[in-house]
Parts: sequence; structure tokens; C-alpha cells
Amino acid sequence: MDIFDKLQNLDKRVFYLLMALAIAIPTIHPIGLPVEITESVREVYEFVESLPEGSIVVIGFDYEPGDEIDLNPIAQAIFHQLASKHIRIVTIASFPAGPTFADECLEILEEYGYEYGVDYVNLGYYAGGEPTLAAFAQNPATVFPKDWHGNSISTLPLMQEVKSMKDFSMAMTLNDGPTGGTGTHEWVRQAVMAYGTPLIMGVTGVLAASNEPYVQSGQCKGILAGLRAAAEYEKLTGKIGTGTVGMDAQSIAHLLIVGFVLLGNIAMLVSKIKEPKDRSGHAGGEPR
Amino acid sequence: MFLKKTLPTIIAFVCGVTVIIAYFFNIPFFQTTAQEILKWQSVIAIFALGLGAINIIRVHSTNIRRAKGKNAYSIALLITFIVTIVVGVFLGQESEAYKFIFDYINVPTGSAIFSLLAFYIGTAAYRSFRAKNIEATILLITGCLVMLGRVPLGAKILPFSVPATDWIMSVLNVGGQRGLMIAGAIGFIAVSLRIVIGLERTAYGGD
Repeated sequence: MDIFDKLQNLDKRVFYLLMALAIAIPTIHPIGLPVEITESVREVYEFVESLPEGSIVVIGFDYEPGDEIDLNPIAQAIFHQLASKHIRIVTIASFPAGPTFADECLEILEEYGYEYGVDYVNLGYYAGGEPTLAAFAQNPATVFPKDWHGNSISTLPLMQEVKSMKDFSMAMTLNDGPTGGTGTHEWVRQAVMAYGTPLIMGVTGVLAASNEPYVQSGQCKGILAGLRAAAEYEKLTGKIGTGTVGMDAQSIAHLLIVGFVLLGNIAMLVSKIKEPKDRSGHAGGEPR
Repeated sequence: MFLKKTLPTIIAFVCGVTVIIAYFFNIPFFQTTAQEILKWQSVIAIFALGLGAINIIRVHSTNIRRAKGKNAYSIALLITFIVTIVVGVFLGQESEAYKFIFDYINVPTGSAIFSLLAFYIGTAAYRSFRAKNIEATILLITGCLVMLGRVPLGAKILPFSVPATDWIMSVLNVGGQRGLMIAGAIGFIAVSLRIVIGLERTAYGGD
């Protein structure tokens, strides 16, 4: 077995070690790679900028632990923008962990002088997926008689202004896919199609592809996909956070994978060329 | 027979038709009834969660009994399951103990499992993205372009990857995804109609 054969079948532990280093080193010592703003992220930013000051938005924390690394930075970045326009926020969650993530992200509103119950509310978790979202859209009080902290929603001034999904100037779902909670398709059906409430999506990187048709059809105002979108949004809001730091590690990791793929292919081509011609005169044998 | 098949079919028919009418037409009677049905649904969903919890305890208790206490994973699951429930119910979800479980056990383990994808997908890409034929070569080039176009460093090394990625995502990808979504939606409507009119027996636990 020569060097080219070995390069085609490297021990996966070598790759694991290099990948761990590629992620760990830039995380510990950020490189500070410049992040360019893409059109899709700028569209979302400009749409949020166009919302009237003081209006109310609903944000669904529809993800589990494991995806918070992609989605918490998106939530925090957009909260900074909403707070700078004093837009009021109602959060709901279709996963049990969602309200805790919402609480963590909502903490940043305190630096803008937001008051709980007046400027923002965390309603908590709902079971049942789409039908329960439909009930919430029709009348939030039927699904959430109390908020996450146990307050009756009739005592919360913000909730007195919300009678149905129509009262929200924007809906947003932070979503990790149809894995038990309310998916992006369900939000399109219950917020956009039923009530005409504009929707934006914050999704994990892999979900961008499957939701792109909603943007082109106009049913979704824009998608923020993965850590990259969070980093771009942080740049737009001027509040640098974990999204920007994570991009260095993601850049190196992607580059490592592409490098390995190219290496494997070059080794395969060289091996083919070096192989002796078979009886029919063709170079190379059967593909490996 | 009536309780097992006919009654569930009648309930599904009445609920399904009411909710569909309420979605498309603004008729007060149907709106109010649909709201009640949806409220009931969320209550039933909560009971389903409870049943799921009981089922987990039952399955893993049986595992432990059969393995005579040597099934470490089932033991660990049951202990953490019960501890989390006790802490959540009796100390509250805003207590320090609950936050400790969430921040230092739940989130790190979830992230650790999710992060393994980076290693598995990386090695899978290295082993399977080989230009053996025309289809594999297209997949290889597309995959590498999108991977580079999605990160700042890739965009610096190969600036062409950014517009190429945008085009792949918004033209090629959307065409395929739209076809899948329309086909899926038609199938979804067909199955829903079969359930509502009682033709789909598997939804009621039948064959």
C-alpha cells in the first residue's frame, strides 16, 4: 500500500483529532475573521426595522438542548434589535426546555429597562404542537391561563392587548425541525395563512434548505440560518456575541472537511493513473 | 366494536370537519366549537405526555428486572428521570437545583450528542465524496462549494463560492424542495381525509 492508498483510507481517529483541534483552538483563541452580511440576513434586519415602535411580537422557542448553540445567539441578536425599537415581546415554547432558553435570552432586555409583564412575557411551554398553536392563535388565554412564572395572564398588562395572533406585528419561530415540537410549516399555516401575521424563521443551518420555498413564495419574510446568520445579525446590531466567536471555529472546521475531501479525491486519481493498464488497454480498474 | 371503532370515527369526523370549516369560514358557531376542540386537544396532549412518562418508567423497570440490576443505562435513566421530576415539581423550575440540572447536565449532554455530527459527517464526507462517476462528481462539487460559501474563511479563499451557494440554494434547492413539499402536502391531505371519514383504521389502533 503506497502513500496514495493510505491517503484514501486515513484512520478516522486522525480526522477526529484534527476536527477537535480545529474547533477548540479558534474557540479558545478567536481569530476574528471578518463576517460579510448576506442579502437574506439584511432583508430580515430591514423587515424588523420596519416594524412600528412599541408593537408586540411573538417568538416561539421551538428547540431542544443541543440546538441552542445555533439558536440562542440568533434569539439574543434579534432581541437587541427589538429592544432598541422598544418592541414588546411574548415568548412561547413547544419544547419543555424552551421556556428556560427564553428566560436566559430575555435577560438581556433588562439592560434596555424592560419591565416583566409590561414589556415582555414568557408564557412557557405548551403541549400538542400545531393544534395547540392554532388555539393560541385564536385566543392565547385559553392555552396559557398562567405564564411560566405562575402569574395569571389577566394580571399582566401586556397580555391585555393580545386577543389573537392578529395583535402581533410579527411572529418568529426559533426552530430545530419537526422533532416533537411545532415545526416551521405549522407556523406558516397558523400564523401566516390563518391570520396574515408576518413570519420570520431562525433555524439550524440544515433547515435553511427545506424552508427556502416559503421565502420565495412570500409566506416567510426571511430566514436566519445557523450560527452564520447570528454572527451577521450581531454585526448589524453592533452587539458582538457568541455567534461571531463561533464562526471562526465553524470556518476552520468546514475548511478541514473540504481539505480532506479534496485530499481523498487527489489520492484516488493519482492511484488510478499509477495503476497498470488492464488487458483492454484502459487505464485504471473498477472504481473503489 | 362501537366503542373501539365507530365512536372514535364519529369523534374524528365531527372534530375534523368542524376545525376545517372554522379554518376556512368565519362562522361564529364553528369558530367557538373549533376553539373548544383545540382546547380539549391540548389537554389530551398533556395526558399523552403523562402516559409517555409512565411508559418510560415501565419499559426501563422491566429492563432492570430482566438484567437483574446490571442494566446501567436504564438505572441511570430512571434515576435522572425521577430526580428531575421531583426537583421540578417540588422545588420549582426556577430553583437553583433545577437550573443546575438544566445548565450542567441537560444542555451539555444535548450539545455533546449534537456535536458528534461534526465528526461523523466529516468522516462520512471524506469517505463518500469521491469523484467516481458524473453524479458523485456533481455532489462533490456542490457539497464543497456550499461548505465554503457558508463560512467567512471559505468566502475569502474562493469568493465565487458565495454567489454559487446562493444560486444553488435559491434555484436548484428550492425547485426540489417545492416538489417535495407539494407532494407531501397532497399525501397529508389524502391521509387526513381518510382518517376523518374513517377509512384509515391504523390511526385508531386497528390493522
